[in-house]
Amino acid sequence: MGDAVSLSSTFAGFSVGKIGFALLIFFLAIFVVMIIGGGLFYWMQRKKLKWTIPLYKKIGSRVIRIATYKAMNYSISRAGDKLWYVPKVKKYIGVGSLQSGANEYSYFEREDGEWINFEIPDIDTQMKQAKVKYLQQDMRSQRIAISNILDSRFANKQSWWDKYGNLITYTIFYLVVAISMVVIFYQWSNITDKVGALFDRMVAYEEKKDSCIQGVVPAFVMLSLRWKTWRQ
Amino acid sequence: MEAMIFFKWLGFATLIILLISGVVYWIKVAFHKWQYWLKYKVFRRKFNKEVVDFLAEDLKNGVDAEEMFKAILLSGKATLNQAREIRYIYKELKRRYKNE
Repeated sequence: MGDAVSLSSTFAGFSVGKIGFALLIFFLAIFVVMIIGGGLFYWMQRKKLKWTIPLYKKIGSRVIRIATYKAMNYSISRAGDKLWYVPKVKKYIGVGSLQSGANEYSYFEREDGEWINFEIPDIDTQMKQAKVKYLQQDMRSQRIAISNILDSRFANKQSWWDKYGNLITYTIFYLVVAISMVVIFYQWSNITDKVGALFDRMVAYEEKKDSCIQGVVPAFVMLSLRWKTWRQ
Repeated sequence: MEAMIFFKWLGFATLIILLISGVVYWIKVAFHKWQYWLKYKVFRRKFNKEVVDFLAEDLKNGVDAEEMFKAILLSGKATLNQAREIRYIYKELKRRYKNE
C-alpha cells in the first residue's frame, strides 16, 4: 500500500492516504462492475424480449393499432407451460399461435381488457362464403366494358402529330431548300467572278504563246497531225 | 510498476464485488423461492381466510395448482408475488386435504 500512496501522488499531484486509495479502488471497482453488469443485463433483456406484439384496439368505431410491445417467455412449470410477459405494461398474456411476421404476433384488446391473438382474415374466402361474387366477375366485365368504350371513343381520334405532322415536315423541307438556294446563289456571284478572272488569264496566256501552237488545248494539235498521217 | 499495482488492486476489488453480488443474488433467489415457506412454516402465520375461501371451490374440483396460477396471472388481477403466494397456499391446502 506504501507504493499505492506514492502512485496517487504521482498521478493526481496531491497526496491521499491509504484509506483514500482503498476508497478510490473500491468505487472504481463498483463502477467497473456496474458497467459490466449493465451491459450484460441489457444484452440479456434484448435476447429475452424476442416477441413483437402489435396491439390493436377499437377506438370509436375503428380498429387501430395503439402500440407495439416486446414480450418474453415466462415458464409456469417444468411441464412446459408458459405465458408471455410484457414488461412495459406488466401484463401476462397467452402464448400467441397466429403469427403475422417474423417473431410477431398481433393482439387485440377486448372491451374487458383481455388481449386476444388474432390474424388478418382472408377477405376473398369470406366473400366467397357470403356468396358475393361481383369482385370476381361483374367487376371484371365492367372493366372490360370500360376498356372497350375507351377504345371506341378514341379509335378515330387523330393525334396531334397525325394531324400536323405532314405540314411540319413539308415546312421544314421547304425551309431547308430555301436556305440552301440562298446560300448557293450567294456563292454563285463569287464563283462567276473567279471563273471570269481565270478565263482572262487563260486568254492572256494564249496570246503570249508561240503563233504556231494555237488553241486552248495544244494536245489536240498532235491529234490533228496524226489524223493527217492516218488519212494518207 | 505503480500502474501495475493499481490495476492489480482494481482487478482484485472488482472480483470481490462480483463475488459478493453473486452471493447476494442467489440469497435473493432463495428468499423468493422459500419466502412463503418461511412465512407460514417458520413464522407460523395463518392463511388469509378470504384466499382459502376463494380456493375452496377449485380444491374440490381438483384444479391443478399450475393451471390456477396461470389463470390468476392471465386475469391480471394479481401481481406475480401475490399469484405465487396463492399457489403456495393452494398446494398446502391440497396436501392437507389429501392427508385428511
